[in-house]
Amino acid sequence: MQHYLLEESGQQGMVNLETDPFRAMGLDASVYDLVILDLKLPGFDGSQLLLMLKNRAPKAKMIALGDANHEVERFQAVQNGADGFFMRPETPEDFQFAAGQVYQLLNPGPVGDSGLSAKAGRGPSGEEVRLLDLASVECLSGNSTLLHVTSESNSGDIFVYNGDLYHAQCPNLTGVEAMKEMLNWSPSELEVSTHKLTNIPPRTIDVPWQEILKAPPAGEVIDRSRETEPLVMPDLSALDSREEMEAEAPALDASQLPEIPTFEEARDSRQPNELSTNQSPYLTQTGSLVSPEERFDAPSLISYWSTDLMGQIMEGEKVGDHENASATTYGIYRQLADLAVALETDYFTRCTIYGPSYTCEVVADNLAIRQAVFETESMEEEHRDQFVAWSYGRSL
Amino acid sequence: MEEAFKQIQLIESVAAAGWLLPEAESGEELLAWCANTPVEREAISHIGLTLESVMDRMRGRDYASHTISVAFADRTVVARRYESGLFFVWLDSPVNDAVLDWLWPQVEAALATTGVDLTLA
Repeated sequence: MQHYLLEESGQQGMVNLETDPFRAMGLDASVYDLVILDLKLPGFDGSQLLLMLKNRAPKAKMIALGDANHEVERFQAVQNGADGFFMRPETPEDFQFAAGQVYQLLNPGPVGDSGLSAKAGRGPSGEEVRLLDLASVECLSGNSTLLHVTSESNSGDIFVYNGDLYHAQCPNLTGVEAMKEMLNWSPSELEVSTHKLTNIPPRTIDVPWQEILKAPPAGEVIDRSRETEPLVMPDLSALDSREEMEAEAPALDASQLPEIPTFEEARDSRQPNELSTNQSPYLTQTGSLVSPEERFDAPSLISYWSTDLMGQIMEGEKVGDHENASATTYGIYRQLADLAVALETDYFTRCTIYGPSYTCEVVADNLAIRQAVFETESMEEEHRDQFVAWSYGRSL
Repeated sequence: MEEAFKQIQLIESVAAAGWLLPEAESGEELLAWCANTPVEREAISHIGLTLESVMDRMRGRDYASHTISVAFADRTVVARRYESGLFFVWLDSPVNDAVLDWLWPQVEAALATTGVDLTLA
C-alpha cells in the first residue's frame, strides 16, 4: 500500500508504516493528513484504536480496512469516526484502486470519494458535500446503497440499486418528486448516512439518474416552483365592466373537462399496490373504505386501515379520523424505519403494541403500512396473526 | 442495577438491553445497559427512545400501552413501560406471545432485585 500511495502522489508525499498496534497508539496522528488502519489487529480492537486516534487528531482523515462481509465492523468503524471504509485489498489491482481512492479523498474532485461511507453532509475536510454529489457517486460506482437523509425535522431515504436511482421517499412524496424535494433541502442542515442496501424496494424512479442528478449551474438554487409555467395575471384595469370581463374570458367547454369517477368506479378500477399516486381515489368520509369481499374481520377487531409509504390512507374500516389515523401509522413507520437504519438491520415487518384496553398491530412491507386495533380483553394472538397474514395477502 | 443487567445479559438471545429513566425524572437517561454484540451506547439508547416515542404516539390517540414488540426480520426489539422507567431489549430471535411470557418473568426477577417499582405504567 505504501508503494502504491507514493506512486499515486507522484512521490510527493510521505507515507509512514506502523505494524505494531501498541506503538501505533503512541503516534501523534495530528501530524498526518490521513491514517489507514486495518481493523483486524492481533490482540487488539481496531475500532477502539480508530476512536482513540480520531479523538486525538480530529482533522486527520481516517480510512478503516475490513472484511467485505462484516457489516457490524463497518458500522462500528463509521461510528468511531472513520471517514471511509475499504474492503481489505488483496491483489495488486486492489491496492492500486484503493490508493487511487485515498488520493482522491485527499484531493477531492467532483466525484472523487466513490466508495466511501459518507457519514454526514460534510466531506472529509469538513467542506459542504451536496446530496447531489453523494447520490451521483453511488450511481457512478454501480453501488446498491441506501442514503438516509435528514434535514432539521425532515428525513427521507434514497435507494440506489446496481448504480440506478431506484426509489426515493420523504414525507408525503415518493419517486422523482421525493428526490427533487430532498435535493432542495438546505445543504447546511443536511446529514446523510450511507448504508448497504439490505432489501430492494419497489421501483418508483424510471428516469435515468443523470437527468435527476444534473447539477444546476453554479450559484443556482433548484426551485421547484419554476418547473411550472409562471402565472400571468391578465390586465384587468383596461376592462370597465363585468360584461367586458366575461366577454374576454374563454368559453368553458364542459365536454373537455375530465370526468370525475364515482366512489364505486374508483374503487373498482383501483390498483391496491399502486405507490406513486398522490391522491387516494377511494378515500371517503364513510365508515368503510373496503369492499365487503376484501374486508378483514376478527372477533376482537375494533378498526383497521392502510396507508401507502407516503402516509396517505388507502383503505380501512371504522377508522374515524382518517388524517389522525394515517399520521399515527406513518409516524410509527418512519420512526421504526429510522431505527432499522440506525441498527443496520432490515426494515421492520411487524410491530405489536399491547395496552390494557387496546392492542395494536402494525404491519409493513414494501407497498403499504397496515394497522389494526383489537380489544385486549377478547383478543387472541391468532387474531393478530390473521391480520398479518391478511395484510401480506393484500400486498401480493 | 448493574447486577440485574448482568443477569439479563445471560438470558438466551439477548443482544442488548437497557433501562431508561422516565422523562420527567432525568431527561430520558439511559441508566443501565448491557450488550452481547458490538453496539454503541447511543444506538442502545436510540432503541429505547424510539420505542417510548411510538408508545407515546399511540397514547396520543387514546391507545395507552405498556408493552411493545417490533420485528425486524429475525430480530426483535421489545420494551415494557413501568412506573419507574422503560426496560427494553434487543433479541436475536423472532418472538410471539409465548416467548414474551417466557422472557418477562426472567427480566422482572432480575429487575426486582434492584428494588425498582415494576408496576406497569
